[in-house]
Amino acid sequence: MAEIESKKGEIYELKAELNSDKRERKKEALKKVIASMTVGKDVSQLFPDVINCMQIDNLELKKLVYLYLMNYAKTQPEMAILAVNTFAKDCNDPSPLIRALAVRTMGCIRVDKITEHLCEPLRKCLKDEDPYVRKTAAVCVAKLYDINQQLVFDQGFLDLLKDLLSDSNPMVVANAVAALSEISEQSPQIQVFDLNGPTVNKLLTALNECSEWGQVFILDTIANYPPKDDKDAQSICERITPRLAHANSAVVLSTVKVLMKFLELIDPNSEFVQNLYRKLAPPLVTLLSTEPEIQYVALRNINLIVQKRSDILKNEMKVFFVKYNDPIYVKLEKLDIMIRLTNSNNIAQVLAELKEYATEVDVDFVRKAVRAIGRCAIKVEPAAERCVNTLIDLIQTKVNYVVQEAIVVIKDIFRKYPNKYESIIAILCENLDSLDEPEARASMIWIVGEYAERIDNADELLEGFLDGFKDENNQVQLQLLTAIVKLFLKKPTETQELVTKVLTLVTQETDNPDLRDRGYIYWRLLSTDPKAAKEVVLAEKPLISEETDLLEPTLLDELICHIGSLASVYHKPPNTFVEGRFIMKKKLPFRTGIHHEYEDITTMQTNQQQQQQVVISSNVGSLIDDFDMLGPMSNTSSTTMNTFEHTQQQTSSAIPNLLDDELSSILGLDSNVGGHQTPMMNTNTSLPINRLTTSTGNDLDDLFGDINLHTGPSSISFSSPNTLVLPKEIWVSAQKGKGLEISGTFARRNNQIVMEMDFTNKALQSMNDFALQLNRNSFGLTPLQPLQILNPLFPNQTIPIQLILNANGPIMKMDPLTNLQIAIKNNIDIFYFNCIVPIHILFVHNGEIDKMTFLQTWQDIPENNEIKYQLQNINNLSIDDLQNKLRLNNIHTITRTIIEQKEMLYQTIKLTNGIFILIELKITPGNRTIAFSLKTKVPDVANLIIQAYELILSSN
Amino acid sequence: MIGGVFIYNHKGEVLISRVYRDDIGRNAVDAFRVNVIHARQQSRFPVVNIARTSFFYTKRSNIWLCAVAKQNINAAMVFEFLNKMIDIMQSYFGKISEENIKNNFVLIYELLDEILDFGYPQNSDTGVLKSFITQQGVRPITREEQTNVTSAVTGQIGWRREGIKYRRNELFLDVIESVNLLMSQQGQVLSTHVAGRVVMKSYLSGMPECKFGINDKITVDNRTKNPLDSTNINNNSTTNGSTNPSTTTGTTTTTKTAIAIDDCQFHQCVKLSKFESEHSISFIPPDGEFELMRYRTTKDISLPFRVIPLVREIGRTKMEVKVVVKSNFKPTLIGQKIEIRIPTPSNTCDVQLLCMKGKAKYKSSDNAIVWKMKRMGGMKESQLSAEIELLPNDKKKWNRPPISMNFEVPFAPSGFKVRYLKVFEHKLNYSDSDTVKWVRYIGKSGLYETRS
Repeated sequence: MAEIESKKGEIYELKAELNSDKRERKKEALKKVIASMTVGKDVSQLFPDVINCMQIDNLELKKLVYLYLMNYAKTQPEMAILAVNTFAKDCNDPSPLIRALAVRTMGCIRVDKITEHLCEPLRKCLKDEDPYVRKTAAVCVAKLYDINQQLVFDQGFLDLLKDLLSDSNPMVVANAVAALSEISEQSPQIQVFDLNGPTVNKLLTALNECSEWGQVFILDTIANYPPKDDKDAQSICERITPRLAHANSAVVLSTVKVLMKFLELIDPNSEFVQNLYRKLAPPLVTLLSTEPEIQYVALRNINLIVQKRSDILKNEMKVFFVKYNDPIYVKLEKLDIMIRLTNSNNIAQVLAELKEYATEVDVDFVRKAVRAIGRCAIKVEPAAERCVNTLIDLIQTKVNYVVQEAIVVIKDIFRKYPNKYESIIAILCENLDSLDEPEARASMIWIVGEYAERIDNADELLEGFLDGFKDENNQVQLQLLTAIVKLFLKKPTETQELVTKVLTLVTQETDNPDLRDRGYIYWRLLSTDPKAAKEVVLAEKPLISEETDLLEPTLLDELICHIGSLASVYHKPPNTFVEGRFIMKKKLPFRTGIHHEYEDITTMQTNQQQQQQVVISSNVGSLIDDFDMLGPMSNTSSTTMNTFEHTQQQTSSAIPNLLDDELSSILGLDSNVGGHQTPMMNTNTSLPINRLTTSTGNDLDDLFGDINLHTGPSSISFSSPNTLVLPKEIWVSAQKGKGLEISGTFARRNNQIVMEMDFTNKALQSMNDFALQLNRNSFGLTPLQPLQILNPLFPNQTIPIQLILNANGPIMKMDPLTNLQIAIKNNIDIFYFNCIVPIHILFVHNGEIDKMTFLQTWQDIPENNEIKYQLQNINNLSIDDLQNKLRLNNIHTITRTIIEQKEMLYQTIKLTNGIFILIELKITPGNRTIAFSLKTKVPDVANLIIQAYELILSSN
Repeated sequence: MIGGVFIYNHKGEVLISRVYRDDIGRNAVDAFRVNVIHARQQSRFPVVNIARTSFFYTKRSNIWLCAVAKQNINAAMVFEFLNKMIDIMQSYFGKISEENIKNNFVLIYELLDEILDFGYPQNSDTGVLKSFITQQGVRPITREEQTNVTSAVTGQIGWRREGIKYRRNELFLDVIESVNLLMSQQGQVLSTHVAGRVVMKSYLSGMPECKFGINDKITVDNRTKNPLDSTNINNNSTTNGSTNPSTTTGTTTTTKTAIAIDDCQFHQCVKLSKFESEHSISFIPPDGEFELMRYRTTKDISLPFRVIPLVREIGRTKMEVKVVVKSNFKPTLIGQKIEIRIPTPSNTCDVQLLCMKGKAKYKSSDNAIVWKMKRMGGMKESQLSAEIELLPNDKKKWNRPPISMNFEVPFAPSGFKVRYLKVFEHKLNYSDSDTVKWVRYIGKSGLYETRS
């Protein structure tokens, strides 16, 4: 019955049709099979029948069969072998189309036995007389490499592929380049692809003649070539500049990438550079009349280019004006660029536009427009007043989100121009009731606190906020606390009651440690020395920076190297969204002069260094602003970022976890601290510590206040200088490192993992361009920031380097677990080496759990996971000393009891990845042997822990 | 490189799924459906990262096209590729629709196999693809033809096959410009530019080399003793679009003014290095229709029309709108397909219209008054007035979208002129003078908006 045809029947019918004698029926059946495959139905049972169709000499039919094969070969490897003969035959077919098809398809079938048979035909096809076959074979080498790297080396395919770089046909060259680039990106440790002058020359010749896609491959490869000197760079730039007129935007952007990179090497004052600037602007503008998706990619890149070299587009403001029917993502991006290009010449136009945008419909866009007006005010001083007036006009519209956004930016304007626009406070206060977003509320409270002396009813206003204190967002609470203290210091007589109320509230009724601690600080300050309190809380505020959202310079430089690619769209380095490959960080080339200019260079470098420092410090401000106001995420591309974060969390939860639910909440907290706050720790370390005491309470205050209260406890009370640090050992000998000797060790300082190294130059020439990369490892250790060595390392010089490591990178299990593979690059070569991270470096400070949980967990872990060992107390430490010594290395003693005259110590260790280890020590007085037993859900680490104990106990 | 390409219908059902890389699993197909097509909140970006996989997508009518990648790939290239793929499909089977895709899925797979290898885009020129990927299924191809195909796909001239013959050698040039304008209420030009395209239809035998000359400032300045300036082209400015082989010499072309081109881009057949060094545009054209050149100008644009709006809000329930349109070109020329769109508030309940010319209608579904005129001569003026009644209770503010305009005029608003197009074919014996050439200029509206 046709109506009740079951799925089985369908398959059966297809089977019959596939085996039919008539070619047309066969073909129809095959089409049906492919259609089912597309929608995800399982048609793998038809494998033998489909394979049978392979024999037929019909190109179209063949393609369908191959499509099926690519999909199902992996599930039926045994059957797939039946196809090998046909492939072999096809590779010798007189038709180049069929030869190419066979080699193309074979490479897509990931079955070992087929791959073995692929080698001979592939070798032949790489030397085929027809360029169509050769260009297909070139890509096939990359496919094979993806399946079996060793095979590619063994069979010498890499050399054959390199030969193709000199092929007479430009398409073949382009595909060979693409394949080689991919291979070398996958295995940077092998010199796959020697990108030297002659090779680049060949590529540049092929560039003029190959297809648009081929041009993209070639340009992307040339971007990785380090030019010998400025002349080399300049001549390449000259040769590729015509590509800027190509209709394909990918060709244009890849050209821009090479130019931007090589420009670094050329004297910025030369005529050549000025000319190039003039040539770069028009094609970038033209990209804005393409399809919206491409416009978006272009705009994200222009955003980078404008930050790096603002001169290029300085006269093109108008093209970034938003069109009414631009998609929202184009609008937001244009707005961002508009602000970057704003200056005193064009501010009038920009402001008129922004005012127009602020009346649009899309809420995000309107908000950004309002914020942009504020940024204009801060950036262009002469226009500040006009901006403020515009904002006041917008506040009068009473549109809720416009008002809130305006108040947030007005707070920044007050910061930038103190004592200038305070007359408008009255207008702001009128809108107090309509503020329902934390950021706006916090800003308003800050304003009230800061100008308490000019607002008659400041106490009433703040008291009003205080009524709903417990329901407020954390950020608002902190702000309110500070504001009331400020008010008290300004008008002590009337507000004593209020300040007592808030201090009581935060110290006694809140669970938030930040809030509580800040409350205590204020309380003590006020009660011990009100004058000091005044100095601290009402101190001069540092000025806020003009550009609040510039990318961090090293990140910007890295992204410039990725123009056109996804990284430039996300504004994130590739390792944040690409899975676990060993990715070499790309760096902009650095301009060095000829020898007699040496002095100049060094001064230039120091200048640069200083500049960088300035920028960084202004960045601190911005980071803090962002943190205070926006939370950890910037608002530009929140969706993508959220997904990143999401995945990150996923990876961390994928780690074996020995804890029960209740405990994992602790874990969760910890991973949060690790994830969100890392940038803050960064700023924290770069600041002098005493800042904490002098600036707590002023307004930047909150910021520092906040941060310090998060990370502060760790950096002050727990800072444990005595964590055991092993002496440095030589990791790379001068011989192996071509003159560079690296010795190093690991330490834990301020609860951060620090890799401490000495770089010694034992060669005769100076070294520069240092970069460091860690391979994926068991604990996800990655550098918090790139290795920064600004000055060249001169012969016989040694520099100490401290690199802070994070434990939230990609994870790969190593053997032994604590093995870490490191790559260090300099201008001479790349060096790879392994070292062992002592496991106690990975013990985190907050690994304490309470007694009950300990007991519970101990019992939950099965008996056979228990590992026993006899430890030797070599130094004959007393139990207290022992406990202290372990404690310094973050081994926490939970309880200590005496059972049957034996001292029992129960201890816990928590690793950076959240794994808990529970330990019981049984010490018989007078006996140096300690009975050690350990329980963890991840027994792999047990031996390492024992080693750590032995190490710590034997240390002095 | 691209890991896979998927096509979905509006419901999120997969119509085409082709995976190129092992790192892309079947779950990627579902991830996009769940997180983008079925997402409660519409994604605001054309690139989305879900679980470390990046999805690039675009939509045509209600079909979603999506490319997936796990690496840090060239994003511009992916979108260029998706657009190219759409072009190819359209030239094979017309509109991108669910029905067309379902009916041609075998063809699409065959194309995807050819134009993308291991995620690397390969030759995607429609002309060449059509020579060996056909819808008719089995096409007996001779050995010789096959070699032709492969050399066309990979050749230096990947866009043209050998051995093309025409009895009559003919070529058509269309200069199509779209004028973009944003004007303030006060009549101040906020921004304007012309995006122009030169579309060529070539029916030429052999492997002809062409040289193309325009009145670009740089070339004109360079040209001091260049003899190539000529009147060998039939410049027709006919209004109805069909060209006549009139022998009237284009005396107007011998330039009076040269224009400043901000930027131009060329079809891949144009020798870019030659353009850079000698500023001459030379190429071997593909057979049939293609876009030779794209350019952009921002200076000295003659705006064909001006719209002068006057909006008065009378109380909370009434508005008066007056719109004057002035044509600003030679009286001998005629503008066509004129349409002016005047947005109205969403709480409009009644509109009274009065116009001197053409037809005007209030379209409540579009929230706009649409005023159409079939044609309008140069240096004329026309006016429309409307009384709009509003419902009082609508609290939402009306943000006054700009008044937009569409039109078509028979000249190039940028002043762009074709000076010559010379054809050289050395092997076959036909000369430049044997070739029949046609030129046509069309000025269209791009985004032509006046704020009200």
